[in-house]
Amino acid sequence: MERVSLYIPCYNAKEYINECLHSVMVQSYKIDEVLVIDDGSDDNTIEIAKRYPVKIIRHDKNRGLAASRNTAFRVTKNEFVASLDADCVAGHNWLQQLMECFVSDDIMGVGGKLVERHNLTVADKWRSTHMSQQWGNQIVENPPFLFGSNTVFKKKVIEGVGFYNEKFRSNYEDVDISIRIYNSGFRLIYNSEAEVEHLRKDTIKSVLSTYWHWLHYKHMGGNYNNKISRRIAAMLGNIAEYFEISEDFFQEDLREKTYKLLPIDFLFTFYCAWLDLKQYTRQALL
Amino acid sequence: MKEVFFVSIIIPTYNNKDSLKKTVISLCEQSYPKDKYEIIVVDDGSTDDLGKDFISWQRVCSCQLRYFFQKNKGPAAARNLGIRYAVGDIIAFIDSDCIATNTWLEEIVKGYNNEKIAGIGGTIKALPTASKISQYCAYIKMNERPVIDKTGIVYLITGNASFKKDCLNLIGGFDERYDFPGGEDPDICYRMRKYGYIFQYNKNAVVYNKHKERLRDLLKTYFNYGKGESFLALRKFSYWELKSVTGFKWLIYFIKTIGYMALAFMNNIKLIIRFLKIPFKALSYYGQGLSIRDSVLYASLDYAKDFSFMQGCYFGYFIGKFKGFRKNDDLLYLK
Repeated sequence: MERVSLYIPCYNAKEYINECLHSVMVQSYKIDEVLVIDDGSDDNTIEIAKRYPVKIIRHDKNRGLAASRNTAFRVTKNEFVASLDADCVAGHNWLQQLMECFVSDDIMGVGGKLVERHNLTVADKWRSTHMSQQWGNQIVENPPFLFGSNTVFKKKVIEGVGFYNEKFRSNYEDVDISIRIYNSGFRLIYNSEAEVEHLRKDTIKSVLSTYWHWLHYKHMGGNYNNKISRRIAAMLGNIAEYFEISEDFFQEDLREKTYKLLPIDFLFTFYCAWLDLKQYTRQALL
Repeated sequence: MKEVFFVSIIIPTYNNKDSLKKTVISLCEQSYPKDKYEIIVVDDGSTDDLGKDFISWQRVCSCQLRYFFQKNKGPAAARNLGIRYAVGDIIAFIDSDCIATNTWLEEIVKGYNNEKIAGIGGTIKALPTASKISQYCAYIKMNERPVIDKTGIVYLITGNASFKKDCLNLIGGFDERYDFPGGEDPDICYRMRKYGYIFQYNKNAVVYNKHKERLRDLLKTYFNYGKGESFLALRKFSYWELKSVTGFKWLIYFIKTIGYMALAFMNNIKLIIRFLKIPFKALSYYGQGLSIRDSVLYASLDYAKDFSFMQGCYFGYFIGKFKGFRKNDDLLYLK
């Protein structure tokens, strides 16, 4: 059996961390060491985590998810490094299933399926339909990318491609690393048998702003052209893009007959445009 | 020791002598062992006397260079002819307007380490030209890399790809009813995926492509892509089988047909919305740092290519019906 380290990046996750760590302790696959990377939380997350036999590493200030991941990869000594988000609960066989996928040498990472626990409110339902973090109920070889919530990577590949990019604070870093791994000629695998439950609860505002953040980092990497005319043009141009995305949401909702999500699809364009404006004024003032 | 495959490179060509010459020269200077590959040029009924020049090329060329001629039947048929006479286990495809980098062949056959891998695709980069149209193609990265969706790589671009010969023979090669350039690559990859094969993408296998320089050519290309898309859609989904319909049912099917035609026409409403988006698109391009003139031009070209793509889909539907595309017909056309 391979020796596996598991790390849990967390930031202000006192509601979730207990259940998450509990599920880690009862895995069917033996875990060599469990690391909890605390990204400068200011609640009692760490006191809860201390009750479990885990190694705790703290950042002195909030540096983002990508930085936490990098810390974990720098600290650990084992070749296989699993990661699980603090707001997720892993199934009993989760790690077993993921480790079984490493059948050949050029497979450098494996990801599992994320299912939502809460999807009764409109916001949660919207998240589970339009922001679902999984690739369906089959094994997919070379999916476009592996979602960062629950993965196993080999340490040498993360070191080889130069660690996670800390410019992406808490979004898009998983896509970025997958693309870089593909570009160095390795394979990734998605296994739907490895299941993880997502405990997150959203409001309409938070779910839309999460999506906006994702798009923001995807397109610009957080860097805009700073000339005023260019910047305003980009803002207006983005509206057309948001509209295009919401059109897809509309079509999907009409097809799946989830009509109660239509108002959020309608709000999407306007809220994203508003967030763009807010972002711009914040930058202009600083 | 790692096995070195024998590779056959197939180049379909039509009235493109000058740039074919550059392609062949670039292929003669590969880092791959000289006795381990052959170049097969399939002349798709060119009218520029390619065959006469070819004898002198063969004399100069340092590697195996072969020439076949067929009447003008399209690139799909030309590639099939090449496959029939190819010796290699791996078949690499390159277009006659592309120039391969030195290590292209070495990279494009690297990675057949799994039995499930049927093909490997590479990167197509743009050659810089003076024409605005081809600058636009380069800017939107047209056909640069294989198309990917949530189930993995959907298809490879045949301008720069390699396939196992066994896999190509298993599915019966390219579908020769695609008698125009465009659309045959999604089709062949769709059929391979049905057998459970997967594809790989190798970023380092680079060819340089001269994009279309005239608006007319660009629009025609997208029209053909649309046609190909419709052919493939006819193959994936079937709505009705009119042959077995008689009596009262016929009326229902007639009404259904009218309905579907109306729905197809509704796509034009989408085009109107796209038209209204042109200024926003232009602003978006301007925000990315282009000049005002370029951003307006690029936004209009975006619309123009979508327009001709959709018209292609519309015509392709009827042409495809006429050519006899229907659901799961790929098994009937095995050679």
